[in-house]
Amino acid sequence: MSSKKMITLKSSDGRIFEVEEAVAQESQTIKHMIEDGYGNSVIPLPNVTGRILYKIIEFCTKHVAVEEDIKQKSVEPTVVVEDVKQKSVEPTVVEDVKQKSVELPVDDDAWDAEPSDIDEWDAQFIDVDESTMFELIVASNYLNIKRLMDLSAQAIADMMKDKTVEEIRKIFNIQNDFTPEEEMKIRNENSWAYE
Amino acid sequence: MAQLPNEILEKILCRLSVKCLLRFRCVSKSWFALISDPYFIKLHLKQSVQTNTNNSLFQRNFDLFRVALDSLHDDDVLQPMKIDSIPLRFRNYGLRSGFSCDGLLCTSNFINALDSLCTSCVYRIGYDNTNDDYKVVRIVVYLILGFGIEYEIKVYSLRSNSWHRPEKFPHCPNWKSFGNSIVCGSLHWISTVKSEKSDLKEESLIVAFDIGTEKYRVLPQPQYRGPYYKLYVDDLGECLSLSCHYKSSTVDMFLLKEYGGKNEHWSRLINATLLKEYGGTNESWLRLAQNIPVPSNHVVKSAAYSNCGKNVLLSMDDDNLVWYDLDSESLEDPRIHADENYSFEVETLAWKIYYDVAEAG
Repeated sequence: MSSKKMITLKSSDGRIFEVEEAVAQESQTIKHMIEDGYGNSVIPLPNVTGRILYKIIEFCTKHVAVEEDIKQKSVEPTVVVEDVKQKSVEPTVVEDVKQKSVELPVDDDAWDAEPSDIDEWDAQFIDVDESTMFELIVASNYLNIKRLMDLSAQAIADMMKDKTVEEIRKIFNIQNDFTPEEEMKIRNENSWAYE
Repeated sequence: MAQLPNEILEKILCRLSVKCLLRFRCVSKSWFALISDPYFIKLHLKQSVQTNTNNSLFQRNFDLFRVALDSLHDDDVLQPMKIDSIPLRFRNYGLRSGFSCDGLLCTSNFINALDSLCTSCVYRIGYDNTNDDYKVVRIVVYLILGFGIEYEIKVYSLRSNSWHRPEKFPHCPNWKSFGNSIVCGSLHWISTVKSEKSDLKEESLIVAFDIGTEKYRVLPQPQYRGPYYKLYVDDLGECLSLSCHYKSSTVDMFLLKEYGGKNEHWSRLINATLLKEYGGTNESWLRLAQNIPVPSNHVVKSAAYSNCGKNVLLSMDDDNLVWYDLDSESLEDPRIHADENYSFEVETLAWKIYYDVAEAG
């Protein structure tokens, strides 16, 4: 175990994560909480699920490591899963709860590739399904992690650009509240954009 | 899946092209409102400028052609697309040099252009920071036989949709001495006046007309390395550039750094990335390039930076383009033949704000 200060984070579904302070501080939100004196107790993140928090920690750990110029073969967040006695906690996937540090089952493919370029790593990181992308952008906005926000915003924009209006509505779960006449009027204003 | 809050949606949408955004306006009423909002439009422009995207190359003859630079790859040949659907109301109108700013294109009726041997008419469009407005400056310089040259200046404000005459600068701009665009919020030109100094017959003033305050300012001169016969102003990146044509047939190029600051001065630039600091307390001229060999009576001006910032594209007589390498301080071959009908521009939705304002009267 390193002698670096560790910060404890709790996701909305009760999972506990212990991360190095430098990694936690990639999030400006958490950084301010630490500065306000909350760094010694568990920091609750009620807006972020364990699954997404895990990914975010993976991202922050990687970027901190890159900045510190530490060469790591793979990035593995340390996870401490405790038996939390709350009604809302769903059963954890990991069986041995009493172990100090446990690896959550992850998609092994995520660790196999070792791109030398951080941009390539980012591209692979954000190559996920749409709903995960959305969860990531909402969480990174809440946690105020600019690099991840920019990465996910760009990924979503790239995904959107060749979609039709109907496909966009479906992806973003939006109801069309225009009447057919209103919609036709808007389309005709800039018909060249629909070619 | 819950819907994304507007705060996040904005950050995604501002990365899309104008074409996508116009299409997505009809997704829903709230998307329509968001995309049409002036705040969002400015956010989109800022994003485009910062990430150097949404750039188009416009070509004008009597028709308007456009190439979307973002969709080009290295080996592509430029395929200009003719634009029919831009709402140009008057087909007689053509585009003039200095015709674009933030995606707004300024066209003028050639019949009224008055361009001839005795008259030079110049239009420049720019963004007025002080009043959050777009302005068009029209200057006509004309020869009166037996009298000399005179000039007239008028300014148009998009917000008020009207022309007015600002106060005139006491000295007439030199013939064809205007910068190609409005830079640092001002239109620049050179005025040659009788010198009050005993060792010079005349001197050239570098004049800046601020389109916001509509006031004039005479800029300080750089350190010249010898007697010159001609000065030209232009813009490079977001800075004012000055090309000084010496009598020894060489040209120095200067950039004004920290425009508007206390110690405004021209000095030597080595690193192109130092440029974006005007309004600071150390406004100064930087010598960007020196000793460019130019046959006499030819005009060299700066045109653009390369993407990496290490090369500057120079235009010779508005006819030929040549790359100048800042590191090795040399001109590169080949020379590209061009004409002044090209302009780079950022494509934006900016017109939408002002179109609505003007329409509302």
